[in-house]
Amino acid sequence: MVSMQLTFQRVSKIFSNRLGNDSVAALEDIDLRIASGEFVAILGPSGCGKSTLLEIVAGLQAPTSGEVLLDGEPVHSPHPRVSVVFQEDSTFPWRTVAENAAFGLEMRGVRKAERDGAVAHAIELVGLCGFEGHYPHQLSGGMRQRVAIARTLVMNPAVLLMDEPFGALDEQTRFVIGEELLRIWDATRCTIFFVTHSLHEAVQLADRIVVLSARPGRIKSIFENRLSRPRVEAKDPQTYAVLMASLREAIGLTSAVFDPDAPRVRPARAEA
Amino acid sequence: MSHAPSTVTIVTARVAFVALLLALWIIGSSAYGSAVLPSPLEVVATILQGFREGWLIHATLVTLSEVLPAFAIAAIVGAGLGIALGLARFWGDVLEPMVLGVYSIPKITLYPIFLVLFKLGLASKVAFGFFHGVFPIEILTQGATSTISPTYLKVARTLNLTPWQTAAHVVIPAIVPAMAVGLRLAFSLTFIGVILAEMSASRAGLGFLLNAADSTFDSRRTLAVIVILAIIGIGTNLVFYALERRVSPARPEARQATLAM
Repeated sequence: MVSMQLTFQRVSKIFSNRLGNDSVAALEDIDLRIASGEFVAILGPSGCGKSTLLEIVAGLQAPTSGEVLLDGEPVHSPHPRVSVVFQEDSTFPWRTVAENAAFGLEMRGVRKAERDGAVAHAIELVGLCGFEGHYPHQLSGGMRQRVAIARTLVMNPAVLLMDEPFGALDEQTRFVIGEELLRIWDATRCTIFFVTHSLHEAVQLADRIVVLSARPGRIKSIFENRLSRPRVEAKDPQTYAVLMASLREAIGLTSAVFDPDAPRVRPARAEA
Repeated sequence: MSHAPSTVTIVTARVAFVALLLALWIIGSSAYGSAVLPSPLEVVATILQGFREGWLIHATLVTLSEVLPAFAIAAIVGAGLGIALGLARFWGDVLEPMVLGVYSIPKITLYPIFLVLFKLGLASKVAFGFFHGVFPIEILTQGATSTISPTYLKVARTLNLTPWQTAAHVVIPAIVPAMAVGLRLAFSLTFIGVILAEMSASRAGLGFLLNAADSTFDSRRTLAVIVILAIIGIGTNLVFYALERRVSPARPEARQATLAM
């Protein structure tokens, strides 16, 4: 499975209303390079344009200016090697787990005999063996997101875009499914672009954490995450706490109980 | 919350309730006399007589020959229009208040126009039945199409599906449960429309028979026809309920929509 690198070149997005007399800058001058096989989290408050950025990579929206390059090729429409997992439930209630997972290959005209192997492998990777014949309503929210992930894995993606995929799940399930995502990432080595507003999730999963500011969404700072996996707080509470405090400060979450003299990690890159 | 009653308990209670209604009917019949309210046995005898002599079978076949084409046309036109207006937002927005407006008119008031346009025979009954049935299926299909999850459509776009694939594999399967509810309501209303038309002006059919029996105070025939109408109505409803459950194994909201109509 070959992954792809992702390059953002001064990507900006301005939303205008129909009359064109009122516009909102959603993204401004996003410059970023994501290496092939890297796991990057985009962290920011709601309304910072992080989902818009993801949809631009997915080819669902066009940037107002700038470009997104996949292995050097500009993105203009959905790329067959790029798959997306959405926050909302995207499993089709009229299809079983196996039929949901097979959907993309079926639409590409791959015959059943040929897609069965890929579907079984994907279902095994997401840990849903034994649930192939179940319908989504018989599954929990977390299991439905696993089905959505299996549907993307079947397509052998080079880049996996995830838009707050575990945002609707409880903290416990979110952690467990996050660890499984890391296992899947390890097995497939695809590039993962993971949008989240959860600091814990970003720290648990990503190699690099890109913090966006709100309106317009700009890259505020980028943090390297050097904690060893699995990243549980108890393993290295000092480093964990420092990284969390730094991220909290970067997204502007400071409070009265926040100690201004506590140690911070320096971002790898910060806004000029 | 206390224990939910078992299915057996519910069915037993239903049977008991029907028995109670029959008992009240029998009591009423002996209190008012069978000329006013014939007993259940007398009504059954009249139905059997109607089948033997042919007049009840004939009327039933005439009515069904009007209801079925009316329903088929209502289903095709309603579903097609619903999908088209659900996808073409602009036209959906333009036409929706008009559709709802016409739907809310007591349609029987428009029957004279149908008579002038389609004459006294089969055509006016089919047209009037269609006019009743087309609305629920159009309204429910349009509603389901226009509120289809945007995420489903994004999935379709990220997979580069053709418009035809999106329609056949995403849009239509997503709206089938709502369409099944629409079909059931459409059948009931088409049936009502045809009977109303037959009762207003016609030469044959169950509605005609009902009117004829009413005007001669033949309450046995009146009740016989009502029982046949009830059997057709309940029977088709059960078939459509079964269809609904088949296509929406998981969707309690589809059944709630039924209650809302």
